[in-house]
Amino acid sequence: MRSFKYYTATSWEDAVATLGKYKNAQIVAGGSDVLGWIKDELTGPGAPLADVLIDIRTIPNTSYINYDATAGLKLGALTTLTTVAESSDVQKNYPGLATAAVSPASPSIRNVGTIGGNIMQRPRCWYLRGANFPCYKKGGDFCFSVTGENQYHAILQGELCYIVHPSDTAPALISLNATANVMGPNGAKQIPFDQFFIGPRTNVLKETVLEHNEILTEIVVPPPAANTKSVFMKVTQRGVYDFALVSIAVAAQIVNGVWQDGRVVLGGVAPTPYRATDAEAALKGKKIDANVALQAAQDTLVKARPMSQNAYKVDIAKNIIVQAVTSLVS
Amino acid sequence: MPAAKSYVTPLDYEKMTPEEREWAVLTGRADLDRAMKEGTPRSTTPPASPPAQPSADYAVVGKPQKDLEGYRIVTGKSTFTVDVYLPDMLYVRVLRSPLPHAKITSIDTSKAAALPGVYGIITYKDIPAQVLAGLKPVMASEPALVGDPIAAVAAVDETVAEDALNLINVQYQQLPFIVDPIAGAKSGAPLALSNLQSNVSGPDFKVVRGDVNQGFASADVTVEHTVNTQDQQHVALEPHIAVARWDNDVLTMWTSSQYTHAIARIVAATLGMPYSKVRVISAFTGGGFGDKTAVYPYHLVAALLAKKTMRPVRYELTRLDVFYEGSHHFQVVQDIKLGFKKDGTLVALQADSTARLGAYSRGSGLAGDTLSGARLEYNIPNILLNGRGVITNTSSAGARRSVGEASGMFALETLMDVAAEKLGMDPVDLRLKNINETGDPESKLPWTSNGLRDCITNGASAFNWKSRWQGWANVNKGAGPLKTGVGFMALASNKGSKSPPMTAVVEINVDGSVRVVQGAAHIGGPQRTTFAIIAAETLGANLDQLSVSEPDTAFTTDTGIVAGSRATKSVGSAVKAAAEDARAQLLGYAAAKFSKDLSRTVNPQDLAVTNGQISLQTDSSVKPITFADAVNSGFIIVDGQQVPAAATIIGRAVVPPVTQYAQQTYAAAFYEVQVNVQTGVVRVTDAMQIHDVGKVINPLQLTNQVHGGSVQGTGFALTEDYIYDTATGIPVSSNLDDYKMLMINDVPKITALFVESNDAVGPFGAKGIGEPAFMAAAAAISNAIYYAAGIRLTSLPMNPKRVLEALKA
Amino acid sequence: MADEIAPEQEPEEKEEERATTNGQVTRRQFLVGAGVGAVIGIAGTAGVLTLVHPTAPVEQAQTVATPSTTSATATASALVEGTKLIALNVNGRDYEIAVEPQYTLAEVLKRDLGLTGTKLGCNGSMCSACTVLVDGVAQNSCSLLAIREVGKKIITIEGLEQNGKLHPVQAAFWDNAAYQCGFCTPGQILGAVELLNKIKNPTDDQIRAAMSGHMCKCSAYPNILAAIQAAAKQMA
Ligand SMILES: Cc1cc2nc3c(=O)[nH]c(=O)nc-3n(C[C@H](O)[C@H](O)[C@H](O)COP(=O)(O)OP(=O)(O)OC[C@H]3O[C@@H](n4cnc5c(N)ncnc54)[C@H](O)[C@@H]3O)c2cc1C
Ligand code: SF4
Ligand code: FES
Ligand code: FES
Repeated sequence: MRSFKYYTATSWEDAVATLGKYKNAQIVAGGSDVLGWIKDELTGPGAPLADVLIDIRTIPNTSYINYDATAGLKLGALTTLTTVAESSDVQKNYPGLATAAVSPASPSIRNVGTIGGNIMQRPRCWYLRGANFPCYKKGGDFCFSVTGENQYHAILQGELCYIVHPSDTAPALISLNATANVMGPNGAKQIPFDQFFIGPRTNVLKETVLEHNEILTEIVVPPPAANTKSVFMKVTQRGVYDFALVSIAVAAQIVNGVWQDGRVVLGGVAPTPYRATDAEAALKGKKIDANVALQAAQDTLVKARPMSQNAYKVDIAKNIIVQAVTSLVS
Repeated sequence: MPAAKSYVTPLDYEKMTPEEREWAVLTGRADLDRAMKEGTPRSTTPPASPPAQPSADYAVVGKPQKDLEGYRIVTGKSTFTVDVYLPDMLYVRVLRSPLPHAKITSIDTSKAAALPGVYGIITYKDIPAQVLAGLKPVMASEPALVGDPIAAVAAVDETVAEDALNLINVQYQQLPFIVDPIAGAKSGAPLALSNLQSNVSGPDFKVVRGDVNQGFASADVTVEHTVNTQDQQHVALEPHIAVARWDNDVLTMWTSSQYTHAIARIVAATLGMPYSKVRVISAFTGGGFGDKTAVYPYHLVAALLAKKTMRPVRYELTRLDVFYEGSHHFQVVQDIKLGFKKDGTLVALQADSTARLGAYSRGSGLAGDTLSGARLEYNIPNILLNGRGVITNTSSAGARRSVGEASGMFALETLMDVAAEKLGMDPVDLRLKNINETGDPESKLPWTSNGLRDCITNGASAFNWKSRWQGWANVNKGAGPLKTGVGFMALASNKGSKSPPMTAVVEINVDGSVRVVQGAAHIGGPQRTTFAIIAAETLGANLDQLSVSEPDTAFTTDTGIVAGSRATKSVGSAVKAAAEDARAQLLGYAAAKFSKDLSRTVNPQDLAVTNGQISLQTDSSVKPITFADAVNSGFIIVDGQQVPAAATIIGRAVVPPVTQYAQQTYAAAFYEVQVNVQTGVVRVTDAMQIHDVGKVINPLQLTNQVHGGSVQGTGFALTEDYIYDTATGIPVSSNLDDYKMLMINDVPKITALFVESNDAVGPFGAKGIGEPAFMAAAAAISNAIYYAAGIRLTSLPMNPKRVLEALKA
Repeated sequence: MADEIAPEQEPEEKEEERATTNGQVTRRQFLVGAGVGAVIGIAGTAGVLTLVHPTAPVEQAQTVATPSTTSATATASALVEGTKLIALNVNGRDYEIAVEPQYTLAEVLKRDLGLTGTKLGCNGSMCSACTVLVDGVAQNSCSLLAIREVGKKIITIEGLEQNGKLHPVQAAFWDNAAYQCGFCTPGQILGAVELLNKIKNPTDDQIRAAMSGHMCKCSAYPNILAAIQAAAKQMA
């Protein structure tokens, strides 16, 4: 691995200030993504290799799970995915999130990988992850996926860059209307996850609204409304390591089989977790059955613009919406 | 058997590289060529079946035996090459070409050389023209694939070496390149290397038997399809690595290898040194699957940088380096056509195979490998096979657990299923009707044994085929999104042959312990345990008397490669013959001792050896003696001192090649799959393989081999895919996340059954297993997918994309 | 599209920019200053400053999981550049060793401490061959920085055998032929030890889930499953 400097932060403020000091500094949480990036020397004009790693695991009290029925769930950003998945509070109140937290990567990655890191991880486009492709996302002026091997790329909302957002927990958090607590040079602020992720048109060099010197410190999930059901599903070829071909998180209040209100969020289909508002609209007030769910799926996927090799993902997305939505009433 | 015109184009051994020759020998191809050249008697009557070896109740053979090396493996004390760290050692990193084809116009390493901690750099300018790794440049001046080595740096640690790579300035002139073999074979295609006349390498591989046109004309039913099997990397879990150290003019190299002696021989020849001055060691090898059989650029990089720096040098390839520089199981496109009589009798086969060779493989032999099984599995009077290799700007093609036969078997055995449906026959019956149980029609040699019929029938009953497969009317009859179906295939393979070199030494020491000296790699068989079993059985020794040497060219004989499924049969034959030699000497000593002790003549043939005890068969009242007693029995007087006449018994063997028989291994496979028609995901839910292994030597480890083969074969069928971006020629799935190998939670119940056909030339009647176990999966899975969901998939891998696309078509 | 690719050309690094901080010597200065001859190496070294001092008597290795996997929290922030002397506790023994920030735990274990039992298959969190237990939790040592593992109890494959007796999982892997080449085996065994410390009588599915990240390219998976079941019975 190339050399870098290593900084142990003692507080969020300290970490923010240090980030401000070094323009090529990066945060290291579990390190499972960021070290891979450095090892593979993935760099380009818009993606300098990190020369300082700022350890935020050394900041006290950053790994915790607090649940209470009125305030909801608070997750320290440094809580590992394993801890989140195994928490009985999460399992009981947010089953969709619990499943999403056990879905990424492998057990030993989840043992170190943090929920914050999972949300903030960089995409997996194989051109981006290949050292020899100076694409848009590395500050180059080309997207190789358009003319190339795009079977895993975006079917919705791709433009300029066609990555799919890799995180399994992000769709679950959006479906649960969660909020990010963020620390920056001007102090703390809240950003709903609904507005947290940005597409390539906004800024192709990053995937979230966070600036270089802003840090995700805590995830807050409101208490589930009465009659809320949530689910997370992920389609992969293998049972481990694979990123989602398509994933889906649904959380909804369902009374007597009728969809009162809820969210449908897809992963693996677009450069950001994709909130399927068309599906949500189609489901609102309806008694859920396979036909209603299919309508919701079709309303969502009419907007799909598959690339040369990924039309099959449209089918998967359609089918998985039906499966996830109907599973809430079965 | 029809005695019509029949020939196989013999390979030109003069023009082949040493490695290619090695391969021809180990795949049995050389035997075939020799048999045809020397004009083996070509009788028009079917060859006689081989004499059966007596089947005995063995003491050690056939019983489950734990690995002799198990303690070292489970405690982490086994020394793989990656565990070799030497004092004062330097670490190597290699700069690799980012372009699939280019000429280097300038290269400047001065800044890198000036970096503190850098001790040596080599580029093509430092490498004499004749120093090549096979056909691969050690350092390229005209890189012909992404990942060709451009410059290598030896430094105090890997970080400094990587820093140095970033200070090397290379200017390239880009050249046109070619990735697709079909496009590459067309005239006017860009040449993969500037010194080629054509990308098509050498004369086509060709087999003609009978008259294929007449054959098809006489057929009632004809079926055909085109099959495209993918590029794969082996991903042996221990990365390729070489550690090199010079002691004056002697080079010692530790490397993770399947064949230390070949590495030593070729490195020596390449560097113009005597073979005896190159010592290659490979105590444990962390997987190979065919990828650790050759000399690669990295071996020479380590040797040359160690020489240049006069320090030990270690080059452990990164996983990406392995994907680039390692061998690849080649992409191959096959057109195949079969003709049948109404009753299912096969009358004609025509196949055409185009193999992607990558930049540095040559010839049509690899394409020929894909066609070899089809030539021999069934009785087919009329055959026309054609194969060619196409040179491309991709990683080089090479051996991988079956060397193309798995692709050929996939093409043949899926088409047999298509034919069975068209003929309205049970696929099992169609195979049984046509299997060739006599011998090789081209060489006219009889099989050493053929248990294919038993494999098929035993398997069909164990799998309950008759009730699980419900006729062709029930294809795609399942309700709901998860569709279940079963599929079947049979196979014949020329792997698992007994082939030279076969040498071994068996020592019986003064204390009665036994040492087997042989040079075969320990790579998972577990080979050393197998050889211990064979030697113990032959000698009548207890297994715990045995130890087996590690591959080290300084101390062991050349026992040939551990590949081509040949270790048990070939090395095992050598060990057995050496043990027989040792046993004869042991009995001589023992007879002399008994004669002396009993004061009467005891002949060696009066003695029996069991459980390490030598006893007098004719008189049970005589106390048996141990090996030590026998070995220590002979004394002579030297300078008034009594000294042992022979402190150690040394049995040795050089086993000749097999010339009287043609050798094959056989298997049948039954798979059940579940196809999710909503997601396109296919899961194997039940797997059964039945192998003709000749004789089971160690059931515990044999079953393990079948498990491994089945899982890897399933990965070949469903997930593994090494993909090139065709626009840039850069591979994209070159990490273990995108290159998808199956893991424990993808693995179903796997049943391994064995048929003991008693091979005429194998040790105790045994033959090989490694490759057949890999081959016995993909076609059965494809056939099962068809039965479940009504889609015929002929491109691999059969991933969600292909499944969903086929369902839509 | 090939002409889109520029030749590899990195901006040259400016050595001066690598400032000396906290009074520490940068790796460049050290290398220049020390020269080859002065390099101290014990137990197989990379040629950089590597001091290995077992500073404590060998204790009984601990394999029982402790609840947390997070870093010891820092009370004072610090920037480390170049080498730093750290203490690692491996298999119950304390080692003092000079590392640089980018040294992975796997690298330090194998190269600098001579604990070569740990194996690397991918060096990128994709095979789990390099698994070690950190405070009882299975982690990929190829993707841990040694400098961050101070104050934790690390168990490698070398730490499982106690007083000449194999750990039941080790014995079961041997008995059940739960490997072929044996390269993935140390990682598999440590993964199984973590599992059996957590769940006493796992179902087959629990074993598959827990072991799912451990690649065995030889694919001895059915026997791995059998071995873990056998070990669970043995340990019950
Ligand atoms: C082989 C493999 C397969 C994987 N498969 C999946 C998968 O299927 N699904 C999935 O969801 N994920 C998958 N992952 C990703 C994995 O889940 C992430 O690597 C992990 O969650 C990241 O957590 P970490 O704490 O290790 O992050 P780090 O590697 O430490 O950090 C990741 C990134 O986030 C930044 N960062 C970390 N924490 C913060 C913070 N609090 N505020 C701001 N920025 C921060 C870092 O600077 C860095 O850029 C896979 C990873 C690998 C290696
Ligand atoms: S999809 Fe995005 S990350 Fe991938 S090649 Fe295109 S621009 Fe780069
Ligand atoms: S070597 Fe660490 S996960 Fe593969
Ligand atoms: S035993 Fe070879 S990789 Fe597992």
